[in-house]
Amino acid sequence: MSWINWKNLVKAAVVFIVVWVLVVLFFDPLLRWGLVHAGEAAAGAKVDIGSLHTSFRRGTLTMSDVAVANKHDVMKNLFQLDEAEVSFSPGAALRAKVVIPTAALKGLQLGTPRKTSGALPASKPGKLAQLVEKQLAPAKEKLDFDVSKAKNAAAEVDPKKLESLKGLDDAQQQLSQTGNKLKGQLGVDKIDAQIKDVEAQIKQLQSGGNNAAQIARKAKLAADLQAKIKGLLAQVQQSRQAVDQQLGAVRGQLAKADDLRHKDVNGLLAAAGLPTLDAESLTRHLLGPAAAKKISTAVYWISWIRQRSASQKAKAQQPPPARRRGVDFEFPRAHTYPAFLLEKAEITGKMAALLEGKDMALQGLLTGVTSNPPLYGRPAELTLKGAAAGGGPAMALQGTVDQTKEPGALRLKLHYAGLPLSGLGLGDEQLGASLKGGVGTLDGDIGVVGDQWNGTVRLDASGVTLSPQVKLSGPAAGYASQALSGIRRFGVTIGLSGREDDLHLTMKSDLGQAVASGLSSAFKGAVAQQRAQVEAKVNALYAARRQQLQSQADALQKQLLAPLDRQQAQLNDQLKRAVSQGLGRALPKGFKLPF
Amino acid sequence: MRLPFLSSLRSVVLALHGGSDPRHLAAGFALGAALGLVPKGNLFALVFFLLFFVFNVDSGMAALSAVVFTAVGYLIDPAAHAVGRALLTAGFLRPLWTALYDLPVVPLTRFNNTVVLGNLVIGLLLYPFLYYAALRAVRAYHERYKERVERWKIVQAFKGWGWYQSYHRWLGR
Repeated sequence: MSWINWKNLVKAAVVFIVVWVLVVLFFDPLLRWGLVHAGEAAAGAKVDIGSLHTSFRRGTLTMSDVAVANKHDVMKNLFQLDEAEVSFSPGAALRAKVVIPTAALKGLQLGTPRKTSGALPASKPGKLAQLVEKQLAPAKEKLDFDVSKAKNAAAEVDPKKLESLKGLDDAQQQLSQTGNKLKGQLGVDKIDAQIKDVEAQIKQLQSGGNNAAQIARKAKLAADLQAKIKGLLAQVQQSRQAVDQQLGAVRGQLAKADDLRHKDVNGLLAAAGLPTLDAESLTRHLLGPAAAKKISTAVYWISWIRQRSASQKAKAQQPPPARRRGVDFEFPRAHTYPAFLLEKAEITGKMAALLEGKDMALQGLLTGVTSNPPLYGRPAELTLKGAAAGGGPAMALQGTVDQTKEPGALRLKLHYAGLPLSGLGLGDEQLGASLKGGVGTLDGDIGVVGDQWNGTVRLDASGVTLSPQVKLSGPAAGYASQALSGIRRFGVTIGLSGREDDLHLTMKSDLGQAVASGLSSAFKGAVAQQRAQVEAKVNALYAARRQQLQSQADALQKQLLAPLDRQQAQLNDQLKRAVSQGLGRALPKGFKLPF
Repeated sequence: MRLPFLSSLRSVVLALHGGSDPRHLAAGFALGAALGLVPKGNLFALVFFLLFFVFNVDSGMAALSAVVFTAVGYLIDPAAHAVGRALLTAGFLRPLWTALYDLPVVPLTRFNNTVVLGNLVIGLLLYPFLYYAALRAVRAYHERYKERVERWKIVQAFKGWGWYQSYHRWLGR
């Protein structure tokens, strides 16, 4: 019996042709299905595509009525498009590459309401959203109090139970580990030995004759030396970065301990049966839920973009992906296309009836979106501008993702003037308000370099009228309502810092401060007095140790950077001499170096 | 309704009792395992599928094995990802991957995906072991259990069906 089944070979060819015809006939629905599923996997929410048509002959793909839901605000779309016209290279498609020289994204609208929920059945909040929620959304806090029944909070301070002191313990441990680790890792002695070696070689360059053979030997030695010195300089630079990064982490731990001290004080007041009247807690109570949704959306997409545009090296270091998915590596030759490239997409659209019935026209450009930034060599850039005719709302969004070299960097800047605030709800039914009228100016600037996030988002609201919704017992209700009613403008600033897996967020607003002052009057200073006593007691245990750790961290940084600074200066000097001094003397006039 | 899994199972039972070449059964098992391990939706899966047609392997056994090894593939995915990543990041293999990546059509196999490559390599490494293990198992089955199992009513029922007679006649041609 033969191993080859010739009859089946004919059958296989027939099946293959039938499958091919079916794929050609049903390519558009299949691609639409694939894009919807890929989009949903990326967005973590529903994606709708009204229609899709592909033409391989012309190399075009047209989609209409595209809507991507917002995972963190499921009754709204993140964006929707009336039409997307994409040209692609069929030749590149044969190499499993998607190369889009031009695209036109028409009818863009942001944040439009949905008729149905955009939540996916199995969708859960990601780690980042949980981190944001935990830090910005309000803690379960009791706002109704009977101060006359409160205990003495200061008497309850127990050093063993203070989380802030445990935070300092962690910071101390991290500091000592960092010191030991860095001292071993930096290899200062090894580099010093190599600097000595280089010095000896530079002296060799200055000696010897000037015949052709010796000049050639010197030229080669000089080239080798330059390469060696540059390598050493890179090592020193890496060491400096390691020092900054590791000690930055220690400082982050200290900042965390500061937050814990704040929480300790609030916790002690709450345990004693007192309201915390803490401006930050009240800010979180009033603005936290709305802010958490917006910030979760922003950090989710920033993180997504960073992961997708990460370099090959970073991809190799990423944690294992979901089962059956894997990670794609690219192996392009120089001057070839990456697996995915969107060279240029023009964006047009509008935000309808934003303020006083005015539409805001949107216009933008998206360039250089690629799966392999080092190969493409240019950063991805997005600009989106909007302005209403005859003045009014205006926005400018600018985003840059530069992963062309290590460490990758991302920067997102947003300015939005004339943001309508009417109808925005603050807080909950116990202590809240709804905004009537008013406009806001939003300024955001978020940057990520390597693993380190940094940024602020600020909203300045003016011309607002707050309609209070307060259900507190006793005089507190009246004072809180009065405080809220009196507000005509407020500002809120959200700060982001730290690594992605340990993102630190802060939220500050004069709104919380105003309500805290109002409520404080309701309790006639009784809470303020207790707070001052608790803070004094906690600070007595905390402040000196905190200061000591800060000084130790500063001293360690100085100690570690001093030899690196010296080495950097020495190497820069040696590099100069390797190029000019040694060879300048050796070479005859008019002789050009081969490097 | 004929479920594909049950249909494959019945086909395997009949092949074991209908005089199919044990080598074809074993090859079907090993090839089905390789297909099952590799994630679908790329050209490798299509190539394996075509191999079923081209080679004289038992298609029932191959289909059954593919179903079982798809589940196995899901379980060993982390290991396959690690194998694939190690191969794709190995410096000495880079020229090979670059050459393959530059060819038309070949990248459609998604060989540059860690899970696809890892499972493919595991499938190919397992192929000879699975082939010989299946061959021994089929031969042992024929020697020790075939006669006893043939007396089972369900097998008798299978063999009594008209299409089994046609199948047997087709084998004898």
